[in-house]
Amino acid sequence: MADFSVKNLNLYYDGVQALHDINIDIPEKRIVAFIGPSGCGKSTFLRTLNRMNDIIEKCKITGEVLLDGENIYDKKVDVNLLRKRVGMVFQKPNPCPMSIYDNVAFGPRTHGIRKKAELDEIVERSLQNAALWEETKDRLKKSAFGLSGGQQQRLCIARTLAVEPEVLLLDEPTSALDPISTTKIEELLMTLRKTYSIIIVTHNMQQANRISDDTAFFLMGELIEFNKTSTLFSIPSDKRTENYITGRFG
Amino acid sequence: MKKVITIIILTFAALAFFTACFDIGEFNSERYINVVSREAGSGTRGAFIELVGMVVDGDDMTFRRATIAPGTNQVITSVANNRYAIGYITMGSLSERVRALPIDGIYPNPANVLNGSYPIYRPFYIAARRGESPLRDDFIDFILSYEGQAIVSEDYVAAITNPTPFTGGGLNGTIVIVGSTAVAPVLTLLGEAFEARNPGVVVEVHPQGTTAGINQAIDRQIDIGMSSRPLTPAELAEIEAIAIAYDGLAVIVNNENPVMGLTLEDVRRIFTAEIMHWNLIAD
Amino acid sequence: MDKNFTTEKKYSGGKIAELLMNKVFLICACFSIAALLLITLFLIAGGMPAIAEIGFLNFILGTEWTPANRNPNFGILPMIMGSIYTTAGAILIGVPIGVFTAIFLAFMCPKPVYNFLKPAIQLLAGIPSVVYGFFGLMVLVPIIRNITWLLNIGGTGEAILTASILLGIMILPTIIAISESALKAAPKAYYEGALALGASHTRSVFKVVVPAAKSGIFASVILGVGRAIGETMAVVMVAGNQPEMPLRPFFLDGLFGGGRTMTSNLIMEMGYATGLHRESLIATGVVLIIFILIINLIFNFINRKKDPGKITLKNKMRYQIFTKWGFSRLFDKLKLRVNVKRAFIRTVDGLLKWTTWIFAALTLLALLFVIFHILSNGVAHLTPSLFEFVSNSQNQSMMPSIIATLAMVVITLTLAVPIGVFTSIYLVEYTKRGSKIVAVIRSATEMLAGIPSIVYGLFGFLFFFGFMGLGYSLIGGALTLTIMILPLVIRATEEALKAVPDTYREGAFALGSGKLRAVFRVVLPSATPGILAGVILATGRIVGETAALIFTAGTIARIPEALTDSVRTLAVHMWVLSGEGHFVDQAYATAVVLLVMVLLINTISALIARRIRKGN
Repeated sequence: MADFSVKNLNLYYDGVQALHDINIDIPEKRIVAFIGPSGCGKSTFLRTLNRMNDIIEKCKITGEVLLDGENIYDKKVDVNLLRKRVGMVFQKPNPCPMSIYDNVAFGPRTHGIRKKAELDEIVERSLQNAALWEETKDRLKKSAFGLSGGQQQRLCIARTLAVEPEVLLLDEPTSALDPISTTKIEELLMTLRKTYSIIIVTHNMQQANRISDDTAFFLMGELIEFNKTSTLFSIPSDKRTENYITGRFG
Repeated sequence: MKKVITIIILTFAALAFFTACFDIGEFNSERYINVVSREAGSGTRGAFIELVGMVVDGDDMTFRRATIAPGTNQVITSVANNRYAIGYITMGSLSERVRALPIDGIYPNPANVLNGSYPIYRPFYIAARRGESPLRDDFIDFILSYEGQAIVSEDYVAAITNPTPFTGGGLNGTIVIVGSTAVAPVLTLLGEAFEARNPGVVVEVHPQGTTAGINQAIDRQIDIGMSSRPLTPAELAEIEAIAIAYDGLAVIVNNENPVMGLTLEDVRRIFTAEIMHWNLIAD
Repeated sequence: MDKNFTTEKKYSGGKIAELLMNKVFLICACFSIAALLLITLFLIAGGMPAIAEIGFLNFILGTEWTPANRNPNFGILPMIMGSIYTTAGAILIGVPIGVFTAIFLAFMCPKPVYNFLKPAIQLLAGIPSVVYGFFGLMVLVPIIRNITWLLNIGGTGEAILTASILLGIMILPTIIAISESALKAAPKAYYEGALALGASHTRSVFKVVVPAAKSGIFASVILGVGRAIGETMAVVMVAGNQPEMPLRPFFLDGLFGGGRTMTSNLIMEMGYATGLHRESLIATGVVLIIFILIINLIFNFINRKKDPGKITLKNKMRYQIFTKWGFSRLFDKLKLRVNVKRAFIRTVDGLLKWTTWIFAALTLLALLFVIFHILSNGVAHLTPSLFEFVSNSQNQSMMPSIIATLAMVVITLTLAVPIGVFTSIYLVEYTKRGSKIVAVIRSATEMLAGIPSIVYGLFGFLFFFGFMGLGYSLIGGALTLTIMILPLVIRATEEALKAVPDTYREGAFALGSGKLRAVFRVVLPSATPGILAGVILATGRIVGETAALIFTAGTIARIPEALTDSVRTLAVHMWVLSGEGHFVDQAYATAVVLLVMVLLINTISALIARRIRKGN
């Protein structure tokens, strides 16, 4: 079970309020898309789900974020273990300056796995799950920077998978990639949905329509509407949602 | 076009530099005398001004605009490079780079110092406390021995008449010696000879100036201080001074200088700037 | 797969390491402050009694420095003026040539010439000051002396002017390097805008880009001033060293007369001064530091963030002068024909262009001259006897000094690099922006960076030689040098760490890595080339250093067997030899070896820099 339940979440950057009273229940093992115009707070909200906002100074949060019923902002929580359970892939592919193998092995090593045999197996499995194994199995020791943009992004997905998370958070993962790489990654996500809960922030409504099961629409730091994708895109209940989808603003 | 002109200017400038490197013309006795003196802590300077009579009411009357060279060999370099310069150094460091002038007709060499005819001479001292370190005492004995004084006699005058052969040796350790740049060469030779006899011994000689050596010896930071001047009563109250050699102070000029000799009075007047031009010296 | 994440194992190994290293980094970071406090304390404590006894005004404004007289006088005004005159002269010579050369390098230099000229200037930067001093003594002094004879004023050649010229050459690399960076960093939009209005290349550069780079160029001048004031070895060999008030500066007798700087005073008299004399020297060191402090303050004042949008009265006037009273208006008023106007502009352009080319050529000339002189006089005397393992008065071998230099480099780096890197890690990775501690540590580091090496030598002499009882020793010298190069290492590491993109760090955190692991596994490896570049620079500094070592490591030419042995590094060896009138040839030979070492260090540094650029 890996469902999120967010209650009365407010977020302040240096005194300025960025998220207003978010309440949402995100079911597990589905692809949920967050959409909305630039600056609406969807990425910010995504980052509250694995406490990446912690590293930003002057960021204050009120409210609760419950993962399986436990508040992840509780003082007793080990944030590193949290991030093991809730993995994140960023907009711009950001492999570490190491070999492909070491990139994928970084996470497991962090969490205590040292035996080479175990690591080898994890690396191979993760790369296969990320549909990257065939392309990289002969050059695992080469630098990760030698891969193309799309491959690097899949590598980032692979290394996140290597720590065996339950949730995958993706922040506009394909906006920096060409159409072919985008398609490959979208196909990948569709297969991963069977094993992981996936939340994807996207600027591209067609993408949301293509791959997600549920969609949440954000505007100016508020959650406007959250519904099945098919419903939201055909019969939105809020006028603002309709205006955004039909392109009247955005 | 620009580049051509730049290259021409470059070559021209280079030529100008190279020609300017060499002295032009002949010795012009209307020129200023360029006086070279030593730094305030120098024993050589201290001895020189006393012996030449340049001290008035306890104040050093050396020409205030004299070039200050911080060591024996810097004086040699300054005088060797400048046709109109004059300076003073220990006679043991004389070389063909400069010319020593006879004073009152007498040339500065060990023989003339020994028979007392050369007027500007002084003892070399080592400042040390005996009885604190066997190795130190051994080395001092060596300096004052027959073998040690023989080394001294090569360039200076031995201080000990009828020295006895050296009987010590066989110790190990390091001896640290600091002091006069004038005395350093002979003490370096003595040190090397001592090391040759005693393989377990290291003798360090730091030429840093007389007063530095005396002070550090008094403070027990080093073993032996080298001094090219007599110690003051205040210093003698703290430490013993042992004469190890007699040294003459040579007045040196550039090799192209036509002056053949000076009187002691001339020397005094030149170094206190009473005479400022070469042609004003009454021969 | 752990389901819950409230930790039961609170004290896992990773946590202990995190807490421990946090403290270690903090302690290292406070080292800078500690060192600065220690130095200031020692110097002030040592010098205050002197000032109290002599009287502050008598000390600063007294014109007589006669410490050896029966009634001694301790006025350091002659030395202060000596420092000011030589520095002013150095600026007058070095800044125009340097800035114009920088303009040349940035905008007018053909590519093949650039690839040759830039490394050449870096080579100039690495030459140790003893080599410069020796060059000045053998070449500049006779030239100036000949000039005085030509002018019929009779001088020795060891003069304020000589020192100024030498210092001017020595600060050229600093001014050129920083000015060039500033010029290249100016937004291209300015230049293109001017071109689009029909201005020539030269005009656009001089009228638009250079003013835009003003603050960077000024920064380079300030750094040059700092370097000139702090220089010791080169000045003491060519300035004459009379402890007298320098004569009137704008007249010939002042220019060609001798003088003594505060730094020369320190190195000449430190070895033997006692009592009040020694204390007044320490007080001179304090005065030097205050000078540097004032310069730093001026620097920071100039560099403060100015609000660009404000319409101040000054800006308004400037704008009006430019439009109303500028040349264009003048020409209109005179009703000059367009051709004449254009011709005038073209002449000014041409003049500027010529000046730039000539000054750049002068820089090149200075460099070639120094190198050529050293090589031509030194290579011939590189005999095998100079490389024997035992040095004595016959062979004056430099082998012990080479080994001593290597030992010094290794020990100093072993001490300084960990402290410096950990300090930077703390400053960059573990503190919040704008935190007070960071500002304090950074200020302390800046101050340490500005202290002249002779003052470090003085401190080392007082503290390591005297107070700690180490005597003349390898370790005493190494400890002194460690404090001296610490700011360099910190600065280089800081830049390198800051250049690592935040996305790397985020990626590591998102995988559940703690901060320590992220720093050591991800950030540091990325920053290594930059850190290495800083280490190489520091090595160059260690190899060339003289003033700080003469009174700490001593001058004994022997292969060190223990950390407490006195040693003579190659640069100190050169200093001793250059004073020994009998060993001029060996001095030149030593200079050649020093130059080769510097060239090697520079080449390695350039290769590393290229690798960094390729990696990104």
